[in-house]
Amino acid sequence: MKNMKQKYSNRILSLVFGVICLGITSCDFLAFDESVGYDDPQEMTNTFTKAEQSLTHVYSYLPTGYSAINGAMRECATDDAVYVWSQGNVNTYFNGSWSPKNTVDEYWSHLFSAIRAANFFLEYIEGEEFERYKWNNTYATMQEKMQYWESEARFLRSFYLFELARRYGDVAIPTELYTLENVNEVKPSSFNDVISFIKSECDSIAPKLPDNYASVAGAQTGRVTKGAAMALKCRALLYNASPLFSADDQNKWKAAALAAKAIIDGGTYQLVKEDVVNNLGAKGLIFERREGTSTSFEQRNYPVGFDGAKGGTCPSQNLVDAFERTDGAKVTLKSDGWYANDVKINAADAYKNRDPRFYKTIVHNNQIFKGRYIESFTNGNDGLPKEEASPTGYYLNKYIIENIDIAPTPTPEHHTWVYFRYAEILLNYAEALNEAYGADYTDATFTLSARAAINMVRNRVDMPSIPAGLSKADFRTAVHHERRVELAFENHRFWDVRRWKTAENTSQDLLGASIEKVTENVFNYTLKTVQARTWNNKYYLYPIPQNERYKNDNLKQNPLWD
Amino acid sequence: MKNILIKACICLGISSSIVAQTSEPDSLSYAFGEAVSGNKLTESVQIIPNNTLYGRLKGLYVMQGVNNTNPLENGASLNLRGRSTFGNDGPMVLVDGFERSLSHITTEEIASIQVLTDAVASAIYGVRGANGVVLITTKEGQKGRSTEVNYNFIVNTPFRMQEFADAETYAKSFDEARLNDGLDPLYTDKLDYYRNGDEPEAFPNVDWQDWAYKSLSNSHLLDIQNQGGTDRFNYYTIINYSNSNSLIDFKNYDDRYNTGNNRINLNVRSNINVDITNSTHLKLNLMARLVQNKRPGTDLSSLYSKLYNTPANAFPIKTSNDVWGGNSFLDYNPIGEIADRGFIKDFRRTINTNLYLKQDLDKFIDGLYAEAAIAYDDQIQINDARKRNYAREEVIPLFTSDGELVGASYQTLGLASELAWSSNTSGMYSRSAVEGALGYDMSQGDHTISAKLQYRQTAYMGQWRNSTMKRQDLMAIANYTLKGKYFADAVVNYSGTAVLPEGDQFNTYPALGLGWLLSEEDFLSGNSIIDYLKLKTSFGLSGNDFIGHDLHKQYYGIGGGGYLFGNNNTSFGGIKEGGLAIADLKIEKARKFDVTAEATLLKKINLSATYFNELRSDILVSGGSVVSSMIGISIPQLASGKVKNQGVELNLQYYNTIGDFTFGVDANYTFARNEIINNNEGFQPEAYLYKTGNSLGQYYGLENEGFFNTQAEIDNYDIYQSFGGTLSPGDVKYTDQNGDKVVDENDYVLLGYGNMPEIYYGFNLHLAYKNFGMNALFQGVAHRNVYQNTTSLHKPLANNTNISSWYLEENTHWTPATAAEANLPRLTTLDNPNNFAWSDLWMANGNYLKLRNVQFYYNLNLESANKMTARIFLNGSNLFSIDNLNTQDPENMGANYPTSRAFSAGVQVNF
Repeated sequence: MKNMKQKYSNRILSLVFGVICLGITSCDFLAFDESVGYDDPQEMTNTFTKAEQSLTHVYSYLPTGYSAINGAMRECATDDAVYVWSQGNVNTYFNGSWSPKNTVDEYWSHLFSAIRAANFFLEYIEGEEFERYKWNNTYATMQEKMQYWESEARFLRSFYLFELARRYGDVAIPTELYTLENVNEVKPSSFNDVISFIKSECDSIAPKLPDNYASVAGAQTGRVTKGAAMALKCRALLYNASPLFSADDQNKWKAAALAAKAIIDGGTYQLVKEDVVNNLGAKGLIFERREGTSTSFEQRNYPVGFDGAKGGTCPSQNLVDAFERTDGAKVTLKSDGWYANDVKINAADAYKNRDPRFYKTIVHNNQIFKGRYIESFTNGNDGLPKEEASPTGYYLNKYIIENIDIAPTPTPEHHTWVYFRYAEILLNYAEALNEAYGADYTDATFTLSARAAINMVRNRVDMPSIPAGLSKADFRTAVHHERRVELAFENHRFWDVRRWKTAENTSQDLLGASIEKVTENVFNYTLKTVQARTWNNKYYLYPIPQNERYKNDNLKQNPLWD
Repeated sequence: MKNILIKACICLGISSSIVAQTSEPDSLSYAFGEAVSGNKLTESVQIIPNNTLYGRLKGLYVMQGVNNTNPLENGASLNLRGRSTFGNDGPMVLVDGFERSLSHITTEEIASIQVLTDAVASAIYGVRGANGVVLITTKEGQKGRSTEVNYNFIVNTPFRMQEFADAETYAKSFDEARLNDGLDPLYTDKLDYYRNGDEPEAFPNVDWQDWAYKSLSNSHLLDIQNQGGTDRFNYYTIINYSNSNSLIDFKNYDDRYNTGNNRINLNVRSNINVDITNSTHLKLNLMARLVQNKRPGTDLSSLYSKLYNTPANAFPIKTSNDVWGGNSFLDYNPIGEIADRGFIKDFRRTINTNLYLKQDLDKFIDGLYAEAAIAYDDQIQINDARKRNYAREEVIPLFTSDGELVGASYQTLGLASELAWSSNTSGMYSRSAVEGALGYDMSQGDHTISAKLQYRQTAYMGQWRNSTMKRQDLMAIANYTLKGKYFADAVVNYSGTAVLPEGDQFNTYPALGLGWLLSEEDFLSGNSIIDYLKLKTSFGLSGNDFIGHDLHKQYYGIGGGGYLFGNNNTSFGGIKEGGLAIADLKIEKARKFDVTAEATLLKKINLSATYFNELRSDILVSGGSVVSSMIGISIPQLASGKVKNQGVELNLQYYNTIGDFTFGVDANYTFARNEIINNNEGFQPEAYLYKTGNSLGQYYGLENEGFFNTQAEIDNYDIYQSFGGTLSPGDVKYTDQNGDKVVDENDYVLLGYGNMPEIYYGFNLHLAYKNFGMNALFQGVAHRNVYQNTTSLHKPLANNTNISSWYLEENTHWTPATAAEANLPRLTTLDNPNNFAWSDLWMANGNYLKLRNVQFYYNLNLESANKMTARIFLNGSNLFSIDNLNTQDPENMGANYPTSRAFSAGVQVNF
């Protein structure tokens, strides 16, 4: 009996301890790893595919302007356009609420992230030869593509740096990855130094880059070309010479003109009659961003009479008045109707025979668009008081692809955002050379005069040439005007009025046309003020975000924002 | 024999002792507000057990929940002593000693719920203990045999539903707003149609809430409990069935299927205790649960805001062509959403099992024992949906040129589609735990010692990546009692968690508790008033490891922007650098201290008072305010947050019997105030902008100074209100706190208490006379504010939304005539961010005192040889609320499923 009991107890004890032993599985019970990705930064660039992808990520930060500020194009903050939603973010630029605490967008951190991505790529791609692929039959292709990578990343870094500088003025030049320890001590560099850096980078990489990727393995057109690097240098030098960033310095203007001339002399690009945007095969296209198929831009900007169209960027009467007639007359709308060169004209002729670029940029009342007449008059199909109808009487046509239907069955298409094109280079040249020497100056280096350059742009669209003998100031006005109509809605106006320091004059009232239908095809037009805008000279530069200044004492606030 | 023992002790060095199993609450815990018995919980007839806990235990904040996806599973949230951290502050809920969710069991299974907040209990749970512990024990069989059957029939009605404007009122308000905005009115000639109601199709007047909800819905609750036992064996089983319906109507619109919102829950449990031998005890708890939920195929969580936001005149429910009404700017029809979207069914199965074994080792050393326990829980949910879409039709009235209505045109909107099947699984997880302990109890003369060495490991594996939680504890616990009046408890817990980096996963949590039973002292013995008086204190450390996974690692190559190259617009993907890792990762640490006094007076009154003080440190806070974003990558958090939480808990219990009367009250009161000591908010330009020094969750905003009454006042106003828009008379004027002539975020001041109250109290009244009885549970909060910003209710008309009687009748909005008494801004159809900026205009006092539950019961006298007893009861829950909001439920402020008020009748039979 007793033995039986003992046996039982033994068995139970063993059971208990057995359970305990099971329980104490191991010292690595707490081991846990559900990680994804790599834990070594070198892994981002140690195979060809991954390195290519790392570089693609740097490209992905390139900004387009279709919806630059919450659905509005940046031109809505200039006298070229107004955004139909009065509460949209873009109004911050001029309604008085722009401040270091209310920064409109997050581009400060976005651009620094872009630069970091470029620096990360440059740091880890250094020295990579991908020797292990030596025996692959694709090795030659790889090498062909790889040779440009470093230059592409350096271009992108400079591009993002330029975007930062033209907003904030003096910014830091990150050339390596910041760490948690040193980022709060970073000192900003002056705008001049930033442009010098960009210039030296572009000078260094341009010779290494190809003219065109169509002949490079993979035909990955859209990558950074020699022309892109030279164009960035040209634009950067032009901004550096402009009144906002420096006092009148002939050498700076000369440098900008030289940079433009180098592209002109290169002969890679031509000015021919062609679509300047949404045209991948354009002969004047230097650097652009391809987009996947979509209808969102049209949905945002089509006249509201189309099913599904929402209000969007609406060109202003100020811009319409800038488009001359083909005979050179200036047509303006006044409170009692249309005038050409201050002679009253019939409303029916107001939009006839205008600069061809007018029709490519703007959709006006009573024109045919997508198969019907546009009715942007009061109570018309596309006019007020309909919700989201254009307050100016005009709708956007630049970058719009008219073939796109948005409802009931959307027919999306590819759009292409242009960063640099040949016409801009010619206008840069004209502006810089005029400021340096004068409108008609030529010499051994500058074989093309400023006037000839601007006339190339004008003659392409069959507009009359600018006459000789204009003063520097008058020619400057002509160049400013030509930039406005040629490069409308390509994200230039906002920056141009600032660097020229003319914004205080141009940013007062946003004008529109009040249109009344009298009978079929007969309308009455009067001028109206759509928006009264405030301008404060501190708006020439963006404010450094207030939170950033709390963390880094070296960041000084831009003038008048404090 | 001895060899085995020595080997085991050496190789493991750990003994098992399941503290939770042996710490069943005793009557003292019940008396002093730390525990409540299951019998009291079933007085609140509730299907979800969380909802029975309001105001029953000191320190336990039970806040009404909001579950919009399935209102039938709406359970209250539990929180111990308010908020003590920025991070996750949910307490650890243990059922039978293992961490489980309270909503898996039913109220009827619960034998007791105990709240453990002292430092020693928290340290015992190591990296999980800092948020406190709620310990639930399920029922065990008693000697003998008995069966209990309960049935309740519950009727639900909505409590404080909002009233929205009818079509005529809406149209008038809309036109008033349009005029205020400088726009033309739209309805001037249409008001007659709304008033007469002759043309319900072209000029509809629909009370959407009235149509969407029934006025009553019913639920059934049935359970059958069997128990029995002998000296060596006892069992307890329960089968619990509940079938509940919500107030959402239109379940039989399509006769092929039922779209009603319904929940069927079946719980089956078996608890067995066996003494296998004289020295071995086995306990087995098995629970299985099946739940089936059904609801309409629409996204229910957005339905309630659709019901709020659809104006009465938007469109008819159905047009004369039997198509759902609609218009071009709302892409839904609220009734169509619940009636004609098909349905969703989900099936959930859960098992909770645990086995516990205790072996007395008195044969070897007197007082030695060993324990072992394992637990395994599993759950999966299968969702089946059969959804469809409906088409809508817009009715456009046609007028002659004289303005006479001649008919209507119909325009189809949307596209109908037939039932489509989809299925997926969710809510899948498994939990396992293994525990072992070796304990020693010894009593010699005046000294009593019990000591334990315990090992515990728990693992939770969820369905998704990075949801696994694993913890491992090795601890030594000792209790020492001297002369039965001096107590000391000590624990040292070496506790580790898988979320910390390897090599650094363990922390040590010591705690010490001391007690002094004064009533045993000579100077109090024989005292006529004081029957029991105890002072106790505890202090120690514990941890909270809900910080997220892999924070100490930086990853590369996941995600990244793409770009298109090539003349064919070919898309290429990108990879990017991941966010920076947290160097020196820590889990939260709590340093707790409390002092408690407990007393029983006059044999009838039980009192207890506790002061507690907790410092929570190493909380993860944002690094963004101290690191410049020029770094270009997401900045890691820093483990430098600190919060202090201190307060008092009071409890009073009084029971007395006079003749046939019994009456009693159980009251508790908790005051908890937390203070932010460090939250890494960085530099703030004004002193009042700092949140450090204030409590968590408080409201900050602008101070309003009333309204602009005339245009001249606005034109002469030199302060710029930056929140937006052009000002008009009737807009709100704000204080410029820092005098910089701009009203912006730099003028935000502390407005008052937040949504989590500082004071939480409850009292349970009991009255009985012979066979009749009444129980009432009141619960209230104080030091609480609510913020009113629900679209259509507090922010009407903008973007084609609705307006309600709250804006129009209960309060006075600004018009030139009412300018003097107005307390709300003018009506507007535009967004108007100025008037709806975060300010004290919209903040209201959120205190309330609610009658959570009242029960009247009658014990039937049955003369029966089987000793059968029966009782019938009538219950009411959420009957009334005393608060400052009148027409809104202070616990349910947004566009949500309405709070339920319930009435039930039930019967209990015991035999």
